[in-house]
Parts: sequence; structure tokens; C-alpha cells
Amino acid sequence: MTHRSRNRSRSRRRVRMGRPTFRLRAGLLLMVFVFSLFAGRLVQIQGIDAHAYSELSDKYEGATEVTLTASRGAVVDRDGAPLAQTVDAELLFADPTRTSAKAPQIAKIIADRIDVSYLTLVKALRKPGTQYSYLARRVMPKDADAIMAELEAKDLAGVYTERDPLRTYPAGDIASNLVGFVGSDGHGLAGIELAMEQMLKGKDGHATYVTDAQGTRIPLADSSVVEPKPGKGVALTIDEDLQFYAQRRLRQAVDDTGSISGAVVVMDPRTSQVLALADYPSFDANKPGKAPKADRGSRAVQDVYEPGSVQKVLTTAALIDAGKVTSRTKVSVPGLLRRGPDTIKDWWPHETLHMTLAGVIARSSNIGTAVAAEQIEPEDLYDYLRAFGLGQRTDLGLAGETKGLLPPPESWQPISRDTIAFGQGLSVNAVQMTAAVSAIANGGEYVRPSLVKGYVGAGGEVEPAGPAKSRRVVSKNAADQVTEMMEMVTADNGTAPSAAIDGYRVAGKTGTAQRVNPDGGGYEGGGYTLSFAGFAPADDPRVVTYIVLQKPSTSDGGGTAGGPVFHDITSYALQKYGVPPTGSRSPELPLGY
Amino acid sequence: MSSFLAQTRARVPRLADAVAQQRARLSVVRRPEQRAPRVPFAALVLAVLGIGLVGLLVLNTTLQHQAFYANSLEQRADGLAERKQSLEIGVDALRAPGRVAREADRLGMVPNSSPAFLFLADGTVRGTPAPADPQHALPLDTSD
Repeated sequence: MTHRSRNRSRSRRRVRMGRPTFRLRAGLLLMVFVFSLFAGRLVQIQGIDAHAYSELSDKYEGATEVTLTASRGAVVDRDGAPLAQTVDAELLFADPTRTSAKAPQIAKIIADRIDVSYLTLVKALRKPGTQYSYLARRVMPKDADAIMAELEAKDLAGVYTERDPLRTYPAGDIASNLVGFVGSDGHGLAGIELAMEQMLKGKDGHATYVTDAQGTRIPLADSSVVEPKPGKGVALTIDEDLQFYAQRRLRQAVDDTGSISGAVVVMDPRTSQVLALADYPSFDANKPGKAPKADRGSRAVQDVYEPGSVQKVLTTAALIDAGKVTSRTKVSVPGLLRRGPDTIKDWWPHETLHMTLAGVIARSSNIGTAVAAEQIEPEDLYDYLRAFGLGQRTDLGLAGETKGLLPPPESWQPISRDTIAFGQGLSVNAVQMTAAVSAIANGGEYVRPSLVKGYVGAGGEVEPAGPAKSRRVVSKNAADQVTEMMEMVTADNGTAPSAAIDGYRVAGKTGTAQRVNPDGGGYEGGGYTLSFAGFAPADDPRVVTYIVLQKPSTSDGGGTAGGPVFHDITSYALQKYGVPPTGSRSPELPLGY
Repeated sequence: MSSFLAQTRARVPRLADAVAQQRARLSVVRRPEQRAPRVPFAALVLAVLGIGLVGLLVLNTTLQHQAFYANSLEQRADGLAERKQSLEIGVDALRAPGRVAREADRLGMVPNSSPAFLFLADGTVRGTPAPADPQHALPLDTSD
């Protein structure tokens, strides 16, 4: 007991009093030891292994700067059905320095999943002198994931993925003439994709952050993020179903008549919104490269042609509005009409006929129209036609739109007023002509046609496009009289009974014009342009449809070729939009006297 | 200021005198028994250190854990977004007008070429209903 207590007291004393010198030395030694460990490690890291560490950091760690690509806005139809959209996809690339040894195994795994040839892959996996070799672009994420999982499972390293958004057109060739397509860099090259590029593409952002070897962000490390601004979507006025039907019906018509091309425009006359704009031949927007360049645009806005007799509708409206004639005005129509050195003929031979203006329209007499138009000054006719939108772009928003040709009255020859009155010696595009007829259907008020209904924000909210500009061209009375005359065209004894829709009042007008030979030499060998414009119900128009067929091999007039197409497409639209017949009857206008 | 300095200077010799007096009377001084106990203080320091260390560790672990969790959630979100996208692509393909038309054609259906409406309110029919004409079948090809 005493021994223990002594011991304890001694040890306590040692702790209490200590031996300062020894403690100092021991402490110093310890510190020197620890610091030399640090110094040694420092030399090892900074001096000996420096290269390896910097390589490692290059590979894994450090601030990673990533571009956050703004997603491109979608293009949708009037009900939100996608016509163009961007989907996530991935790009596969390889580091050939790591893959060349096992290229065949890797290539087989990839070729089994996606549509790239085995040999191409092996070649890419063995590409010499690079650490970056493309394998495949725009691989669907599920395929890319499956490939990467299988490669990892088989311990095959050296294949990587990168984000590579893919622009798809779910509807294929439906509205491709309007929507356009993008190039391999993702920028719009045609149609709305080109015209609305700035709005669709948005603004890229970027992020900088520190990650570990697994790519996990290290918390509390430096990071900065500038969020990308996604592009806005564009909602078109197009109705995808109607567009589909119009395109297929047009294709049938072009094939049946042996035409070289054709176009159909369907509009709502109250707003001049384009419900369908079909062109044929067209192309699949997913494979634009496979179609000839001429088919990748929209002929309905790019091609000009002489409108032919559909023009008589506009001339007559101008004449009535100017107070020169009415639908019952008597016109004496000679068999031939001499104008200086030229002679004007009708499409059917006849002696002098006694027709009302309604009869002139119903039978589509060139001579009758020319005689009636004698009452209007060229300047006045020109002003009316300008007001109907001829000779100017409709600014629908598509690239390459033509403005057509309406010669100024100063340059008119003596015969110009006559030919322009019945649709020759001036040229138009299909949308212009539809908008002009639409003005008649809309009671004489021209509304500038539009193709864009609104812009879709990131949250799906739609910001409507500005209201369309409108102007009065002719009085309501003039428009109504013209409409009644146009109803005679689809009557049993008119030029286009095939355009009539049972139960409905249908107004229409046929057009046949010589087509200028694009190879030069005037009209020689150019063939004809057949067209038909009309709307229904005539007393409360809801749908305006215009059909143009270029250079058909058949020699039938616009009524025979265009009438049935008008009938089918307009019937479809009336049903789709639930427009019942109005129940009223067409007035019986006297056609002769 | 200068007066203050003068005062201090004057006070120093007086203090020195007092120390001298103390030294003069030497005596055995007992070590004061009442020293501040060391254990609680050491324990306190250790506790602070320990809590700090553990706290830091916990914080760090939590952050790391959350980073991993966030990462795994992000991966899951990516996976779900992929799935949503592929389902949407599927739906778009199924509801495309071309596909619907083809299916309808397969069932022998043709577009109705004579629109007519039945008004349930008064039982009237507007338009001229007629059986659909097979001639109005829309020619479709394989690409539609």
C-alpha cells in the first residue's frame, strides 16, 4: 500500500514538475518529425508525381465548363399536334487508342442495336492518330444506354456519349412544305424553321462546376450556372388532319391529271388563317436530302402563274363596287373581239350571245368580261386589284415568297385591260389568289393571310400572334352579288357542277390559263394551269378552298379537274369544323336575256 | 499627457520600494491548495473539439450523401424523361393522321363525301346524307 502510494506520488510529481528541457526536446523532435513528413509528401506530390497528378486532374477533376444547350422550340399545328419537335438523343464517339484492340467486339455490340454498318464502326474504332472518332449520331437514349451498359458489362472501355439533340418531324411529309427542316448543325434551312430561327433556337447557357472521378458534383466547391433560355414554340394556323387530307387528295389529283405539280390552299375567310396549304410533289422533312431541291419549298408561295378565269371574280367585284354593273347587267358577247392586232376568243365557239353578267361568270366568257371591263379605267382596275393583294407579298412568313406581277397601268397595252380582266398578262401565287377570293367570301373585306397562330412559351402558354390587318376592298353588296354569280358556276348548267356539295350553297369559279414555258419562248409548250377557287356555305362562308394544277396532261377545264378536289376537301373541312348547311336556297339569277 | 507621464515615473520608485520591503521579509509560502480543477476544462475543450469534429464530419457526410442522392435522383429523372419521351414518340406515331387513315382504310372505311348533320334538339337533318362512295377512298401508299 505504501509502495503504491509512493509510486503514485512520484509519478504525480513528475507530471506536475516535469523536466522542461526533456519536454522541449521531445516536442521539438516530434514537430520536426511531423514537418519532415509533410515536407516529404510535398516533395513527392509537387516534384516526383506532379505530372501524374496533373494528368489525373485533367482527366477527372477540376472546374468543368459545360454548355447548356437551349432546347429548340417545337412547331405545332393549331390544336397543338407536333409537326416539328426536338428529342434528346446521343452521339457515340470512341477513343481509338483504347478501342482499336477490341474493335470487332465493340462494333458488334453497337451494330446490333443501331443502324450503322459493322465495317464502318470497326474502321471508326481503329481510326489512327486521334482520340476522338465519331461512331454514330442521333442515337435514341434507350439504345445508347443499352449499348453503354453492355459495353460496361463486357469490360470494353473507350466508347463515350455526348448530348446530340435530334429534330424530328412526327408527321413526315405532312406540312413539311411549310415547316421546313434543319441542317446537321440544328439550324433551320427552310420554311418556318428558317423564318422563325431566332425565336425557335433560344439562348444557350453554361455551367461551371467541380466534379469527382464519377462525375458527381463536389458540394461547396465553386460553381456557377447560367440557365439556358429555351426557344419558343410556334403554333401554326394549320390543321394537321385537314392538311393530311388535302395533301393526299392533291396527290391523287396531280397523279390522275398527269400534272407536273399542284397546290391546295384552304383558308378561314373570316380571319384569312391558312388551315391547310398543300403542295405536291413534296418531301419528308425527316429526310430532306432525298428530295430534289425544287420539292423542298412551297410552290404555293414560290411559284407564279397566270390565274386565268378565277380573276374574273375580282374584276367583276371591282366593276360592281365602282357602280358600273350589276349581276343582271346585259352584255352582248360577240363570237370574236378584235383589239388592234389581237383577237380575243372564248373557250367555246359561239355566235353573238346575249348574256347577263351572271351568265358571263357562270359560263366563264373572256369576251363578256372584256366587254364589261371596258367601263372601268385601267388605273381604277389596277387599284382594286392591288387592294385585293395582287402584285404584293402576303408576308405569310415563308422564305422565297414571290409577289407576283401586276404591271402598273402606265405600261398597259391597249389589250392589257381586257386580258388582265380575265386573268392573263398578270401573275400570282396560290396564297395571294386564295386571299383575294377570301376577301369576296368575307363580304368584301380583305384580311391579310396568316400562317402563325401564336407563340408557345416554355410552360405551354400560347401568346397569340398580333391581329391580322384588314381593309375593305369592295362593298358588302358587291361581294354578295359576286358570290351569287359564283353560285351559278357550281349549278348544273355552270362550268363546275362537280364542285357542288349536296345540301350546301357553294360559290366557285374555274380558271384555265396558258402557262408560260419556264424554258423560255412564251406560252409555247408551257401547257396550261387549271385552277378552281370557291367557298361554302355561300351565304355564310366558313371555308375557302383553292386548287391549282400545273401542266396537266388532260385538256379538261379547271371545273372538271379542280371541281371534285374542291368538293372533297371542302366537304372534309365542313365536317371537321361542324358547319351545317345554312338551309337557304341559291337565288336563281337570269343568265341570258 | 506630459503630466500623466510624470505621474507614472514618480510612481515606479514607490512600487520598487514596496517590492524591496516584501523581499526583506522572507517566509515559506504554501502552495495555494485551491487551484482551478483541470479536468472539467480539459473535458470542455475536448468536448468542443469533439463536437466540432463530429459536427464537421456529419455535415460533410450529409452534404456528400445529398450530392450522391441528388445525382441518383437526377439520373432517375433523366431516365423517366427518356421514358416519357419515347412514350410520346410512340403516341405521336399512333395518332398521326396518316396512320389513322391507313387503319381506317384497312377496315374498309372511306371519307364521307356528303356532309350532313342531325340536330338532336329538333330531330332535323341538315344536308343530304348519302352512303359513302367507295370511289372516294383516299389512295394511300406504304409511306403514308
